[in-house]
Amino acid sequence: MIAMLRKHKYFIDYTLGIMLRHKGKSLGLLTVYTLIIFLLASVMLFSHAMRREAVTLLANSPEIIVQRIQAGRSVMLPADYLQRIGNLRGVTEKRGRLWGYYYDPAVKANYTIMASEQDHLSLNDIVIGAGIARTRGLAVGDYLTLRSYQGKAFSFKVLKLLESESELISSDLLLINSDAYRRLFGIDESLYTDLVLSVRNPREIQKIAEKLTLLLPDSRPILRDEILRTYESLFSWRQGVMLILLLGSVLAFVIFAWDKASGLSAEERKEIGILKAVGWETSEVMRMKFWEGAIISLVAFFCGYLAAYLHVFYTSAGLFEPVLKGWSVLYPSFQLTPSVDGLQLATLFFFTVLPYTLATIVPVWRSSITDPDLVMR
Amino acid sequence: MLIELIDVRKVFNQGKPNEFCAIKGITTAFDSNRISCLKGASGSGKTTLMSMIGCLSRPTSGRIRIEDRITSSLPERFLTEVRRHTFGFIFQRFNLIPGLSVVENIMLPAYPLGVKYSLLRSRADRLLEQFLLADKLPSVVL
Repeated sequence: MIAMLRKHKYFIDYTLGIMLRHKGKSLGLLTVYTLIIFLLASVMLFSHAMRREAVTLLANSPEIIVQRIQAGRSVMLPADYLQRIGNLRGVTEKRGRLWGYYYDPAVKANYTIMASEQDHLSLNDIVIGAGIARTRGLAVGDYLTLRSYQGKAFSFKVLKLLESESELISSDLLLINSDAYRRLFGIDESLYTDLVLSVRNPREIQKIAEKLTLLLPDSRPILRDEILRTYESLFSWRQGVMLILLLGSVLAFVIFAWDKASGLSAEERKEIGILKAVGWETSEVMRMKFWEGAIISLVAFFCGYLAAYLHVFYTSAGLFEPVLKGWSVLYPSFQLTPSVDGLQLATLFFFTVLPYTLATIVPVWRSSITDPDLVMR
Repeated sequence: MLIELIDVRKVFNQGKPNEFCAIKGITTAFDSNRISCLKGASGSGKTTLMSMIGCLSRPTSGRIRIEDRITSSLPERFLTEVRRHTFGFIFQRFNLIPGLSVVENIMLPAYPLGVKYSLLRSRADRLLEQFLLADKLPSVVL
């Protein structure tokens, strides 16, 4: 056992010596390989972290949202729908919500505006997301003026800024009193944007949704799981778009690596001949060459993945921000919770390290089964 | 006989337009405890014959026997054994691995044996001294 370990140590030492001999070539290959791993891993880590973030953030959201649909479009919903729902078994809480969008011509961006009952806001108070605070240069105590549907200006005093932990969904969010909301948009007391229902037992959600469809035929219940699936599809789609964009560079690398790995130079063929002539077995030559491929691909994989990890979780994926993050003009500023998906890691390893290592071994095997005299000529 | 060759032929690029027969049916034998010398014009096949005896290549036809083993039909893994333990082959050209030091080139054949480094090194040092090459020990082969 010790002899075998020692043997592999000699192979690795020898391989490192060979790589140092071709410093420029080895470093060039390592750099390109690392860059490819970095790009692919960044997209994968970012998309996975975003999906995970969505799951975490939606964990406390209501299980069912009810929207009224008229001619295929979502419209305001009468408050008496709450009474029509009645006391459905399994529903622990039901309430109406008021929310919509406000276009701010000053920054040419849409804000999400919502009536909040939780913050005990007075008629002139407002709570704003960090993205709005940044863009408009607002702090607690400052005033934000919004123009009503009639063109009348309403001034709101900034009561507080929304916590940064939730900036992913609250960056462009404004919270105001429900009466202020109705005055701002001219919405009647008897109307809500939608209804939200909390359900204690997750197994009953589907059944309750079916009952809601029967009770309110003009409405559509949206389940939390459906929203999560939408996020899942959205980030998978974006990840796919990014991967397709990167496909060109990946293919270029594959051709480059294949060319490097599959065609042995005359010098390399001679080296294999010498090793066999001095008593190395075919398997020993292959093991030595395996280490050469493995060292390059493992170092590139490790460095690329580590760089991607730092890029995504410590610099908020600056390179991919415009493509992968948000859909608003106000990009949220947040740090994703570091998380690594084992399956994704294994997939990336399987499609990068293994093919390269194998591509290195095949031509060596071909040379090393040939007579040493012939490959040395 | 230590080494025996029976009707040994070696053809390069067989079946191709540039086919070339380097050895045309040699039958000879070499005794043990003797120094034998092969003499001939350039291109007459001396190196090719030595390569076949040293198990660096196989004859196209015929048989080569070393001691009591027919090496011309041995599988590759047994040939390695013969190369490693039976022959000390001095090539026409140096055939050293460039980039490695002189002492590393000397130790190279023993790497697959997994011998302790200190033993390998002391044996390599002794050999260099024996052949009056101790001053070349740290030099790198270019």
